[in-house]
Amino acid sequence: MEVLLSVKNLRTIFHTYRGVVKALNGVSFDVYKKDFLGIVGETGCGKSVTSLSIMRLIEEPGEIVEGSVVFDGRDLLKLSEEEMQKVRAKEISMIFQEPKMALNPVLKIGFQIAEAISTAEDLSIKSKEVWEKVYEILRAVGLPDPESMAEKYPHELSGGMAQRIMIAMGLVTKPKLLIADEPTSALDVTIQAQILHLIKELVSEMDTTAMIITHNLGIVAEYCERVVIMYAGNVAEIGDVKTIFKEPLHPYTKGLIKAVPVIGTKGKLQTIKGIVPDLVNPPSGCRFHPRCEHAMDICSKELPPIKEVKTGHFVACHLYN
Amino acid sequence: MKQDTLSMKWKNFVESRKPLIDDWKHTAYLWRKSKLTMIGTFVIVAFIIIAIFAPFIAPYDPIAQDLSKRLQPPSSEHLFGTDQFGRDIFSRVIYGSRIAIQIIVLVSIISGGIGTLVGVFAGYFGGVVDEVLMRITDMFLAFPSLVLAMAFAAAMGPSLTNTIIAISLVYWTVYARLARAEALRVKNMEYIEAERAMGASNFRIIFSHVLPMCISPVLVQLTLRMGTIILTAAGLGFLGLGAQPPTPEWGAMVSDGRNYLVDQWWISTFPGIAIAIVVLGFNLLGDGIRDMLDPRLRR
Amino acid sequence: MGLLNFIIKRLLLMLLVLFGVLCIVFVIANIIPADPIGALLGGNAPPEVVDQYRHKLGLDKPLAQRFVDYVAGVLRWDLGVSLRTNNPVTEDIKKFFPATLELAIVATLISVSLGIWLGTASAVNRNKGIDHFARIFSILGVSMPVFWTGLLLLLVFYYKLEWLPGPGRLDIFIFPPKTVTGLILIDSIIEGNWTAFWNGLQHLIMPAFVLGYGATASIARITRASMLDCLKQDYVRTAKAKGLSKRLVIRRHALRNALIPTVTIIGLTFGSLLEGAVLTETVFSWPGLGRYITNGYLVLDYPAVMGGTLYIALIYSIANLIVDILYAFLDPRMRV
Repeated sequence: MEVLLSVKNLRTIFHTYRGVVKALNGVSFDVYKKDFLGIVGETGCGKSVTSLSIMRLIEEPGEIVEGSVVFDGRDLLKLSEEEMQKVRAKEISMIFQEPKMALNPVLKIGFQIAEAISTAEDLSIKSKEVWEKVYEILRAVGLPDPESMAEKYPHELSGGMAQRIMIAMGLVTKPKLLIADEPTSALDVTIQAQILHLIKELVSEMDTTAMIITHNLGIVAEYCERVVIMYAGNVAEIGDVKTIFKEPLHPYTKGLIKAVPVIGTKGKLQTIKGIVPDLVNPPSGCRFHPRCEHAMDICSKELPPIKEVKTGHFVACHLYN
Repeated sequence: MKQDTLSMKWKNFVESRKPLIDDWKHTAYLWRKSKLTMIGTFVIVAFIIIAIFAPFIAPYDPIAQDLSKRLQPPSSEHLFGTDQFGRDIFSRVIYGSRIAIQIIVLVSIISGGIGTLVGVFAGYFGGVVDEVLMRITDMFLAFPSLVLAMAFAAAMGPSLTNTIIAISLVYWTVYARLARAEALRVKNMEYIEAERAMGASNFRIIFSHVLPMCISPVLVQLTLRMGTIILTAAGLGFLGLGAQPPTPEWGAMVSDGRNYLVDQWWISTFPGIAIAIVVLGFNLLGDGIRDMLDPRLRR
Repeated sequence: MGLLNFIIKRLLLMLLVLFGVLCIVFVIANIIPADPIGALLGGNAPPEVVDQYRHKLGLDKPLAQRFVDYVAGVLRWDLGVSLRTNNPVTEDIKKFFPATLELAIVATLISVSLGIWLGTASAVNRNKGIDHFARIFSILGVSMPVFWTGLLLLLVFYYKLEWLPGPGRLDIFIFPPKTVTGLILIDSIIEGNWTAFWNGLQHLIMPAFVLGYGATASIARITRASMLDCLKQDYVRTAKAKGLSKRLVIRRHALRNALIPTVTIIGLTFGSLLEGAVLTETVFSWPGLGRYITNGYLVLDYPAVMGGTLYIALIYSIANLIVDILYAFLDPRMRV
C-alpha cells in the first residue's frame, strides 16, 4: 500500500504558566492512500493536537519542536508559510468539532464555500465557475435549494446542516486528505450517523483519503478500516479495526475495549483505574505504566518503541519486546 | 502526634484553597510577564512616595515668591527653572503631587460611595426604584464628563474643594451601573433567599451581604479611572475653573505658562510632563489589571 | 420589525433623558449659588441697575415660573440671549458649532483609523515588539493632557519651526468661503476656493491630531482585545485551514467580527472628542462651541452656557443613538 502521509516522532509542546505541557511525545504513524483511518483516545491524549500539527495550525503558546510530517513526498514542517497555505488550500482539508462555531457568523455560507474554491483554484470569488461549484457541492451534501441556502448566515442553520456545510467546504476542493476532528461529537445521536455516512460516501466517491479523530470506539468500529490508538501524547497501538477489536495487544487498548458498554450483557461496566496523567509532569518511561496491570520495572524507565508485531499491526509496549 | 494533626490541618487548608491560591499565582505570573504593567506599578509607587515626602524632596517653598529670580531657565539651582513670580517650578511640581493625590482619593471615595449606594439600591429593590435611579444615571451620562464637571465647577465657584465635588458628581454614574449589575446578580443567590426566609430585614441584607459583594468590581473600576480623574482635574485647572492660584495644581501651572510659552517654555512643559507620567502610570497599571481580569485573555 | 421597535424604544428613552438633561442644566444654572449679575456688572453696581438687570433676565420671577418659561423656550428652539455677545444663543450655536463639528469629524477619522490600525497590529503581534510599541504609543495619547500637547505642538511647529499655521481656522488675510455648511473644507470645495481649502486644512492638522490622538487609545484597546478574542475563534482556524493568506484571514474573517464592539466605542469617542474640544479649542483659539461655553463660564453668561451645554448633550445623545442602531445593524445575529 502506498503511503500518503507519514508522521514521524512528532513532538508538540505548549508553554503555560504551570510549565511546559508535553502534548505530543514522539508520535509516529502512517496514513495510506484511500485509507479511512480512525484516531482514538481519551480527551487530552493529543489527537486534536496531532491533526493541528499536521496542518501546522498550532498557535502560540504551542510549538512543534521535533519530528517530520511527510505528505506526498514533502516534509510539511519544512515548507514556507506560503507553500503551506497552498497545501491547506488544495491538498489537505479539515473539518472541526463545533460546526456552528467553525463558520464565520458575519459571512454568508455561500461566500465561505466560494472562498475555499477561489483560494484553491486561484479564481475570482465572484466568478460564475466558482458559484456553480458552490451550488453543486451544496446539492452533493444533501442540502435542498442550494441557491437560497447559499444566502443564509450560520446562525440560521441547525448543527447538522452546519456540519454539512463544513463537509462541503472541505471536500469542494477535492483534497488528497480530509481530516475530520470529532466531526459528530457536538451533534445529536441521530444526526451523527447521517453525517458519518455522508463523509464516508463522499470520500469513497472522490477516491480520497480520510482521517477521523474521535473518542468514540463505536464510530471507529462501524466506519473505519484502520485505527491508531493514542494515550497521553503517544501512539499505543495501530492496526486494522478487525484485528484490534479481536485481539488487542496493548493493555490500554484492552481496557478501552472492555470499557465500551455492550447492550444485552449484564454485570458492572469495566473501567480503567487511575486518571489521565498531567502532561506537565508526565510519568517517566511508558506514560501508561502507573495505570497498567502488567507494569514491569522497565516500564517506568524506558519509553517502549513502536514495533510491528504482525504485518500491519503495531504496538508500543514492553510486553511485546 | 499533635504536630501531625496540625500539619494535616494545614494541608487540608491549603488543599481546600488550592483554586484560590492557583488563581493568585496565575495573576502574579501575568503581572510579571507584562513589563508595561510592572512599569506602571513602579511609577505609581514612586508618585505616592514623592507625595508623602514632598517637604523633604522639594528644595524651595512652592508658593514663596522671589521676583529677583523670575523666569529663570532650568539650572542646577532651579532644576525646572522658575516662573513669572520667581517660584521654583521643581518644588511646585513636587507639591503638585499632593494636590493630585488629594483629588484622586477624595473623588474616588465620594463618587465610589455615591455610585455604589445608588447602584445597590437600584439593583436590590428593582422595579420603580431601579427605573427611576437608572434613568437619573442615564441623564448624567448624557453629558460629556468634562462639560458637566465644568458646569458644576463654574456654578459653585472655582476652588479645589469644588473641583473635587464637581468631578465626583460626574463620575458616580459609572460605579452605579457596575454596583447595580452586581447587586442584581447577588440578590437572587440562594443564601440571600435563606437570609430573607429567616426574617432578615432588607437593610440588614443590603449592608451585610449585597454591599460587600459589590465592593470589589467598584474598586477595580476606581483604579482604572484614576488617570482620567487627574486629567479632568487638570483640565478644569487649565480652564481656570479648578484650583485657584497660588495652589500648585498641575493644570493651572500649565495655564500659567501659556503667555510665556515662546521664550520661557519650561513653565508649561514640566507640570505637563508630571501629569503625563502619572496618568501614564495609572493607565499602564489599569490596562494590566484589565488584562489580568479578562477571562478571555487569561489563558 | 424588531429593529424598528428597537429604534422607537431607544428614541423615546432619549427624549426622556434629554428632558432630564434640561432639568440638570436648569438646576445647575439657577439653584446653585453664584451671582451672575455680580459677575456681569462687578460688585459695586448701584442696586437699581442690579434690579433692572434681574428683571431683564427674568431672575425676579419665581423659580417654577422660570423653569416653565425655559422649557417652553427650548421647545420653540429659543435659548435666550447671550449676555456676552448680545445675540440669541441659537444664533451663536449656529455660528460656532460647525467649527467644532469640523474639528471633531476630522479628529474622529484620525482616531478611528489610527486606533483600528494600532489595535490590529497589536493583536496580530501579541506580546512582540510591535505590540508593546503600539500599546505605549496609544496609551501615551490618552495620558498626555490635550491642552499641554497642544501647547507644545504650537511651540514647536508654529513658533519655532514655522511649518504649520497657528491659532484659528484660517489665516487672517485669507478670504473665507461663503458659508453653506459652515465646514470650511466643504464650503471651499463648493466654491472652488482652493487657497482657503489648503489653508483651512493646514490649520486643522494640529488641533485635529491632538484631539484624535487622545481618543486613539480606547479604540486601539478595544480593537486589540476583541481582535485577540476573534483570532482565537474556531472560524479563524477554519479560514486558516482553507489556506487563506494571513492578510485575508485577518482582514476578512477576524477584523470584521472584531469591529462590531469597536463601533460602540466610536460613539463614546465622539463624546470624549466633544469634551476634548473644549480644551483644544481654548489652546488653538478655535472659534467653536467649546470655546464659546468656556468663555461663557468665565463671565457667568448663563443663557450661553445653558444653551451650549444642552446642545452638546443633545449631539452626544444623538451620536450614541446612531451607534446603537448601527450596532444592531452590523451584527446579522441581531437583525432577526
